[in-house]
Amino acid sequence: MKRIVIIITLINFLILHAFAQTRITGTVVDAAGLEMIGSSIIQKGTTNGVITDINGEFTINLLPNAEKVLVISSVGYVKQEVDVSSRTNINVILQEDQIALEEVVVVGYGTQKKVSITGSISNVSSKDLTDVPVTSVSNALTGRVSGLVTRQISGRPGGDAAQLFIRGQASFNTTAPLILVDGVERSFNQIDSEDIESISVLKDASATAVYGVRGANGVILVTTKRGDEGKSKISLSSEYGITHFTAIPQQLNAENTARLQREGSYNDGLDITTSGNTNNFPASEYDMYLYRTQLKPFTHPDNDLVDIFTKPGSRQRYNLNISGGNKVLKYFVGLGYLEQTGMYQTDVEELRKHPTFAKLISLSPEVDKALVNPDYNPEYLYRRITARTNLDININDDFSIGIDMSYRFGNQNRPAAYSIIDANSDGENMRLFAMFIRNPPQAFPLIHASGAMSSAHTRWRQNPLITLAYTGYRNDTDNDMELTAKFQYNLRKLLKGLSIDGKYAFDNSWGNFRGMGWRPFVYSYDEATNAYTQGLNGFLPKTESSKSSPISREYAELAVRYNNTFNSVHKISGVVLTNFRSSKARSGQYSYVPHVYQALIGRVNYEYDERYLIEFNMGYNGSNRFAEGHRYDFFPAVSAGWVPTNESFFPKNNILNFAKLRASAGQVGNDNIGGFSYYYRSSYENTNNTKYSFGVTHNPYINGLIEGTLPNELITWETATKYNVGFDSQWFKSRLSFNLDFFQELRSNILTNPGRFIVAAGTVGLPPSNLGIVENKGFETELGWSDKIGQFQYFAKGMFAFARNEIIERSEEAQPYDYLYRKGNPIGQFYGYQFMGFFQSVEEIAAAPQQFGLTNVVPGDMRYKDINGDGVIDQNDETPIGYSTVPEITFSGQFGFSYKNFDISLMLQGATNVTVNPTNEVGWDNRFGAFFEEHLNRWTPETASTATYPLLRKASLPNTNNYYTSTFWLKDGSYLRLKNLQFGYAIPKKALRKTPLNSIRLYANGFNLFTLTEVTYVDPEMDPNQSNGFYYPQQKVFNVGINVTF
Amino acid sequence: MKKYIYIISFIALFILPACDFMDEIPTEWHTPEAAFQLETTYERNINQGYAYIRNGYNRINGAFLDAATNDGTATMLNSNIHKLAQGFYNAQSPILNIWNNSYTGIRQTHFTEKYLKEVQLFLNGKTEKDVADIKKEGIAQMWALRALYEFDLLQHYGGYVIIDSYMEISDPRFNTLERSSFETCVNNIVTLCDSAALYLPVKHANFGRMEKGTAMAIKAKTLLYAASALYNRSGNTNPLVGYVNASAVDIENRWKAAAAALNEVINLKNGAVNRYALHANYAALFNATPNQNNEYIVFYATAQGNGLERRQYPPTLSVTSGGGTVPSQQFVDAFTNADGSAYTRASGAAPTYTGRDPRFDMIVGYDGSNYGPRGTIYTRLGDGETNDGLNQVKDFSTITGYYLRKFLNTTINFSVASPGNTYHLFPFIRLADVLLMYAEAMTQAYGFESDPQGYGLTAKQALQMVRTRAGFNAATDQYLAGVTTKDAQLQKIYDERRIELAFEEARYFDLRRWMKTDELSEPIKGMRIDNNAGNLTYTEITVDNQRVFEEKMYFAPIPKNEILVFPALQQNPGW
Repeated sequence: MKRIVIIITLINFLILHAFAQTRITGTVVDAAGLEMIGSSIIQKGTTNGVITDINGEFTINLLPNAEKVLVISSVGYVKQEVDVSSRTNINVILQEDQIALEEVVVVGYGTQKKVSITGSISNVSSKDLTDVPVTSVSNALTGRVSGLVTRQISGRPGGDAAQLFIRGQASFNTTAPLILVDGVERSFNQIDSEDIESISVLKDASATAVYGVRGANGVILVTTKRGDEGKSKISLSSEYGITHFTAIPQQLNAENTARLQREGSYNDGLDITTSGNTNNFPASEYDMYLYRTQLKPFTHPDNDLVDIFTKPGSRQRYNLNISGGNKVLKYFVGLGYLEQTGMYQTDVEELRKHPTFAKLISLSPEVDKALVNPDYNPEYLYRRITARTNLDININDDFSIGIDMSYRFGNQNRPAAYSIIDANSDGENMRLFAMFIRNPPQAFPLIHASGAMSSAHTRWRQNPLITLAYTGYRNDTDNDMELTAKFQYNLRKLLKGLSIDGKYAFDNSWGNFRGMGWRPFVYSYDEATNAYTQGLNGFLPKTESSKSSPISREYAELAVRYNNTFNSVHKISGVVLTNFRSSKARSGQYSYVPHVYQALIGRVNYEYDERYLIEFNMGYNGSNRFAEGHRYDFFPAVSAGWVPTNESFFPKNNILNFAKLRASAGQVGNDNIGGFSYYYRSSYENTNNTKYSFGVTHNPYINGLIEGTLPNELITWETATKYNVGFDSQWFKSRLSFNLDFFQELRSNILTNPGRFIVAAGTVGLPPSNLGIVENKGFETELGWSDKIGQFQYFAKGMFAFARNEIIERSEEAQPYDYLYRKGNPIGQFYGYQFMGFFQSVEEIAAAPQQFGLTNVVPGDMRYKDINGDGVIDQNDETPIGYSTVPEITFSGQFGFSYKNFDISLMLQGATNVTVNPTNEVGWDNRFGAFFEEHLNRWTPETASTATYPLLRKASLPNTNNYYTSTFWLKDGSYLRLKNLQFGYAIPKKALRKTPLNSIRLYANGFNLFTLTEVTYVDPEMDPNQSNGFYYPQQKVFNVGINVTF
Repeated sequence: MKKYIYIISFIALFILPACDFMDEIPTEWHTPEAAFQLETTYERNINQGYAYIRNGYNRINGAFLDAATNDGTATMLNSNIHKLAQGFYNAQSPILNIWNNSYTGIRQTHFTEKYLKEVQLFLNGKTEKDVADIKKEGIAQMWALRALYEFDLLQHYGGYVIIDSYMEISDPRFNTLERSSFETCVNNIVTLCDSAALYLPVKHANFGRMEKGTAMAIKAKTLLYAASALYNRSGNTNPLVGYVNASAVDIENRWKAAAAALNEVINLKNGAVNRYALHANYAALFNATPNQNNEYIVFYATAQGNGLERRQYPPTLSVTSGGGTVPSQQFVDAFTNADGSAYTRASGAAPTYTGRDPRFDMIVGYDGSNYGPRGTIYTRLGDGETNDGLNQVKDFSTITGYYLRKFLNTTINFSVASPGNTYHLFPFIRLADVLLMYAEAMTQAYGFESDPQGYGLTAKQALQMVRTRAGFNAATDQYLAGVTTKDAQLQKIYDERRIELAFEEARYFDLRRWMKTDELSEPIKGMRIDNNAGNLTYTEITVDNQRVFEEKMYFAPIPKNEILVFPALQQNPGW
């Protein structure tokens, strides 16, 4: 080939030289001054063209009979025409295509030019996703899409995906968006972000109507990379990071803790002299002296558990991508490996080095003997292998097929921590996190001088040494296999613009685990009697377990598409598509009954002269979770757009160069109404939990048969009626962009359990019915600026979104006061008491409204407001307080600049109008356990006027006076985060000239680096369902990496 | 070729949606028809009817209902039982809310009855007639259970909503439900019991099932309630809470009806012998092996366990908890002397724990009390103080100086790996209760020592039967010495009920139906014992001086939600 090129070139040279033709040389660079390889240089109006070489240089001989103008272009850059009639050497700087008006966006069942979109769709490119060192792709979306609220509720390796809410929530059932990968409903969290080309987020009815019964919560479309025609591109990246907890509770030291515990017992009127009951936390000043000096660490320890049992975790990721192709075959191959370790210290060898353990070892040879690593690995570890092959084959000019294959293998390892069996149980997280908040530092030594495992009475499972290292392990493997075969047939011979395509996908997921649980005997020790009390029985290794829960899914679709332009101004396109989806999983009572969806979908677009746009969408869907006759429904949507800047009357100017107004209205459904239940069938369940028994042995209980939920044949999906108006604009030669969307949604038919029914009729509950109505409205806006000054490029981009919902109807239980109804408030609105300060005297308590019928309220306890004025504080005095756990306002700011080979970017992200409610040990002073800084400022008779925390009591239990949900405990969950910071450096291409390498980029970045928030011991994105903090904490990541292309 | 592709594709496009893939629906759930036709499972439906019988051992936050009377209190400081006793409850948080449970049970009995009638059943080795009898008996069990659930409603609320058949979700009656009068409800229970008694066996091989005597006892207790003072108040105009304009003759006839029904229970024969007999040993009765227990008539039957001991043992004998419901000083003072003569303790004087009613040691744990194999427990403070001492461990140690000893099986030992299990069947009606109710009804109807109907047992004899079993010698018993008036005789019967049926949920309702509610507002007393080098000093303490009884508390409030949703349901007076 090369030889032929040389020969032709020589011939050309000879011939053209003879005709004295012109030879032009030049270089093409980008705005940063970097050489552009592979840019195309074509003489205008001819097919005469060359491509720039590795140095960005080219040489072209002009044809004599054509214009002496060169057209220089490269994908993603603005095309340039250069007149070379008077020059033989040119230097061209190509500008990145900022407007990207020609950008094509993936929409529901198709693609569309961004400029002609009339719905509300946001798009995230591949680069944005790979800039962030996260494991789950969902976390990379944070702050990138206006109107997408993310909440990362766990940092557990392999299980740290974020919850997603598109435009907040409009239903009290599931509000999770529908997620499709390459057009098929699939999970995207564990896809390697290097394999993703783009992500589209569809927000309004116009964009989602085609998803019919499943689109109401919004849709996220993930598109994976495919091969392009051209030279093979090989990209290799490798990165390594370390991880830390974003927030972890730091306990007070032993002496302070002991003092506060003693004070709590004293306040409860308990005996706190050392001769009294140990449960009363007696401690003498001599004990305090020992806590302070650590002279007797076996009886008076001071364990800094966070310091001892946490460590930085690590994260490493490797990815190899190869793509390329020719006219017949295009390919993309991606291979990825990820490994993440946890932040709990499970290695006994490492623990031995910690000063606390080192001291115990030096004091007792028995401890030295006892502290050995077990013969298994209990560490937190997640490993993921991903492989993907996307192939496109052109059979002939009209007919092409595609084969996509993806396989993911995930492997999670963790300490058993007393719960091997429950795969998704937070049980083990509970034990792990709880050790920081439930174990006072002086409660027990981590190990006794005799080498016996140690704990305190009533908290036998809490010793972190045992929990982490000596309870066994659990190892899970998960497999996801996804196969897609598709075809496309261009029917232009039948009718210009007509094509037909189809797709069949088969996915299968399965997994299994192996686990082993054991534990040593646990003892407490009494110094006075020198006696050990055995608390928790040990047992030998057992319960090795394994199981698999396969899920298989099928999907098929067939579409006819039409796309044509008449008279160069009337653009008409449309699609008619039918699909079928079936999913089989072992789940609950209806295991392996396939969940089936079927749909007929249609769309028509009409565009006149790039000025007027109109689009009709409709979905006709069915789902087999409803009764016959209630299975199918029709979901229409219409949208329209107007581009005034394309009007002839609109003056061409340098201020506003593009503007589009758009509006949409339509209906979408949501059938995700809590589990896949067949509410239209009545159910009867066997039970052995009657607690009643017959006969002499009275064991076991009798088996009964319970009348389950009553059937409701009329049950159907939720219906969302959505309106959206938007404005897109580009200003100052597209340096400034500004978009604004207002939306309003009325979600009706929300499935809810009727609260109004008569108990005397004996129905424990009526069947769920479509009774709920929620209104959700808000806006989102984006403002961006980007420009360059010479080789200095910079950009700034801000996003702000607001969504507020209001329950219009919810069929609530009847309430005596109107303000007790959840109706009229947002979903998840907190309810509680209004904190009025601390009681300062017995007289004040006597004069105040009686609180909850409690007779043990004392000065220093909290006082609440009597809302209904009946002289009693009870549940009738609860009012809406704070917000819900889903933020109403989310915002982000992205900033970046690049200069020559350097680039820096950062993202600040935040949320407000959100409330978190930490309870129990992470919210309150702990009954037996740890105390924190804020508890030092508790109420005492001496500090009565300045106290910020109530009187300490020994029993911090729910439903005691101070621990009702109140304005005192709710925390403002607003936060502002340095979500992402990145430094990059590209090795100058010149330095690579003699190597096969095309580029090398070095970078350092971070995630969740810094957080400003009022929430103290836990991350502000804490899981609201684990309000006691029992989950694996979120993490921050410091990461370095290298990317090499060939 | 290409043409065919087009044609096939187009056809496919329109066929695909026409195919219905929706036919795959769940086929593996249980339809009642299928389950009730199966020989192996048909009984489950009947069994489920029993699942709503209440267990008095953990009535309210683990405390006995009697902790809301002057017999005792509970160690858990923030237990709802205190709110109940101190009057901190209302229609919105009624605390004693059995409305839901009773109606769930009632619906289940209708559900079972409906399907027993409708479903065809074939049983191995049984004739058509056998099956019909089985069905009849099953339905009769449902009637008896419904009577029990309805009696529970009656004693809490007075007149309630009578649901007389299974109601489909679309039943128009949902909109018109209302409470029936007390009188109608009593008659309804009596009818149910009479019908059930026709088909139920005298003794069921499967202990714990409804029997003929069960139905008769529920009826008898209902009639006794119907005759009681609370429901026959002169001038009452509200039919929901009792008879309207009850005349002296009406009342007398009601006592007579109660006496007759109670007599039938006492004399119910199983072959030649009485179906029910007093257990020889009062202490062992409550842990007796079911098939050797001929005293329990209506009860909650459950598997063996040791949860009650774990909760009620003094803390030194329990593992992590202990305490629970504890007797009061006035309850301790209510026990007679060993000879049956009244025990009196001068105000502030030290109590005597020896030489008392033989049941004293079996019911109350006190300072120096013997817990059989578990040894002796001490509640004293000072020298030799343990966690059993007054107020030693919050929520667990006694707050009155006493522990509840009754019902506990002291072979349960928590200091070993296997503490052991025992029977804890909670009695609602047992023969001793029936005998005392009989004594009450006879005294009211005919007098303490007369038997004009020839029942073969006078009130005095019935009372004495109970006392004899308790360990008193009928010949030397001083209990009735000098008792001559009807009121004094009744008082003796009441006092006997207090001791014999202590902590069996009798007193909470007895005090109400007798209208002796002064006792519900008296402060709860306890005894502090200090040990100073062997010198014990006794100080009477007040444990709870906030006990309240108001007129409205004769009846429990109907849950507020129920009233708000269906205003036709009338709330009880005062709530």
